[in-house]
Formats: sequence, structure tokens, C-alpha cells
Amino acid sequence: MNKKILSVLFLLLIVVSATVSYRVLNQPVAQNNQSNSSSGTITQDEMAGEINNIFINETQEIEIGEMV
Amino acid sequence: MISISSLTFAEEAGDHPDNDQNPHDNSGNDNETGSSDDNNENETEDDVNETDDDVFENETEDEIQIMNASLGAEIRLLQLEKAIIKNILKGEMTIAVLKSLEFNTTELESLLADLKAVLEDVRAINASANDSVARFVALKQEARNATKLFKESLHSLLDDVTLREIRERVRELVGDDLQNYTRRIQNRIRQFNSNQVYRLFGIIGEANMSLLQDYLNGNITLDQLRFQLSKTMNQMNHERQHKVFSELKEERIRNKIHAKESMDDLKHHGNGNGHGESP
Repeated sequence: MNKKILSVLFLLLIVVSATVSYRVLNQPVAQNNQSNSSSGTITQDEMAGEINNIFINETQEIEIGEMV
Repeated sequence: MISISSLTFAEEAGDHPDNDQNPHDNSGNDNETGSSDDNNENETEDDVNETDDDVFENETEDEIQIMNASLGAEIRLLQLEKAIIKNILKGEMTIAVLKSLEFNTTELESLLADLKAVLEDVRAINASANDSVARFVALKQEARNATKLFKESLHSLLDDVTLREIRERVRELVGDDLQNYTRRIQNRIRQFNSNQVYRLFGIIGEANMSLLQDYLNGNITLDQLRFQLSKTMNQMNHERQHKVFSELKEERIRNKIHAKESMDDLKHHGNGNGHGESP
């Protein structure tokens, strides 16, 4: 009887360990909207900033000063 | 007084031969204060002038970053034309008002003529030419100097109340006259931005042509386009995100360095002041 209980507990331990290990290893990397890479994280704002930089604002004007 | 219609842009296709002028250095410094001013006040005005100059230089440095492409050069030249025309129109209105008040406007008219000559020089620049950046920088500085001199001359003639009235009148004036320029510039900017999207699609490795078409047709704004692109990027895997981010950042830094070098080069070899003089 005791052996049976021990076996069940042991099997339960293995199952729980396997489940926890699986969840830890497959945890999504992109939490907090960050992209992890070997060179550092890139936030959404940083990415949006670089994208914004390649465009010209359509209402942009050149300033040469006021006449009056 | 030259009519306003003569100042609207001409539909001139084709290139103009470059007038390869190398205007000599002139000091654009115009700190004209009275002799009774304290040294402290002079220093403060110098500081303000220096700050304005720094701002102007930084803005110019940012502006020339897109001029390595001829479409970018075309955009900047059109924007400069528009800015000069706006000031010419305000100058003409101001002179007309002063004449009706029987002021002597000879000096102002002469300064305005200088500004008009700068405009013609800007129009003569070939956007595809190698020296378009140098000429843009030089002529922008000349336009700024001419504007500054006009304003100072005007302020020496009038009191604050009259100045305020004139300012109000000219503010309402220039809206409609520059519509053509505004539209033309906007179309070119839209084309430029579309080209940038093409390039981005090339880096990403996938294209959304309907999004691009919507932007070109004016169905979506630039902000909406940016939002959609950001959304696309955020859906990519980390490696691709990093690759795109790195390429964009490197290009931005490269452009900035190139622009800084160009400005430094121009400073060392002399910016264009002294309008109208040939070597």
C-alpha cells in the first residue's frame, strides 16, 4: 500500500515538473511589447520613432524669418 | 509694385543652367544697437542672435538630409521658394501701406528687390545637380538675411502700434496666393513618402500595395499610414524586427552624419552671402 502511494506521488511529481518546465520554456518572449535580441530590447516606441523618421510631414515649412 | 500673379510659380519643365556663383563671405551679423546700450544688453542680444543662428543651422542641417535624392531636393527648393514668396508678398503689402501713409519706402523697396533676386536664383537651381545642396544652403541664408534687414529697416521707421496693425493686415493676405505651392509641395512629399514605404517593404520583405495606394490617393493620412506600418512591424518575429530597426537606424545616422559633414564643408568653404556677385 505504501509503495503504491509513493509511486503515485512520484508520478505526480514528474507530471508537475514536466508541466512547469514546459510552461517556463515556452513562455512568450515578447512581453511588455518588447523584442529581445542579442543586442538589446526594442520598444514599440523606438520602432515607431524610426519609422516616423523616414517620412516628411506634409505640412512642414521652411522658416526664413518674418518681414514685419 | 509688381503684381502678385507674377510671383506665382511658373510651370517650367526642364533644367536651368546653373549659375555657378561663389558668393563671397559676408557677415550676416546685424546687431545694430544704439551706442548708449550697456555692454550687458549687447551680450544678451549677441546670445539671442547666436541661439537663433544655431536654430537656423540645425534646421537647415535637418532639411538637407533628404536632398541626396532629387525628389527630396525638389521638395526643399519648392519649400524655400514658397517661404520667400510669402515674405515678398508681405513685403509688398507693407510697402503699399507705408506709401499710402506717405512714408519714404526707397530702402525697403531695395531690400525687397534683393529678396526677389534670391527667389529667381532659387528657381534657377537644378534639383538634380551636385551643387543643389550648397546652393540651397547659401540661398536660404541670403533669404534669411534679406528678410532680417527688411524687418530691421521697417522697425526703425515705425512705432509698435503701426507695426502691429501692419502685421495683422499681412497675416490675412497670403493664404490663397500660395495654394498652388502648397498643393505642389504636398504632392511631392506624398510621392517621397511613398518611395520610403516601398523601401521599407523591401527591407521587411513583404508589401501591402493597397495601403500604399490608399496613401497616395489621399484616402488615408500619413499618421494612419505610420500606424499601419507600426502594426505590421509589431506582428513580425523578433529577428525581423531587429533587422528592420537596425537598418532604419543606421540609415538615419548615416544621413545625419552626411548632412553634418556637408554643413561643415560649406562653412569652411564659405556660405553664400553677397548675392549677385560672380567670382
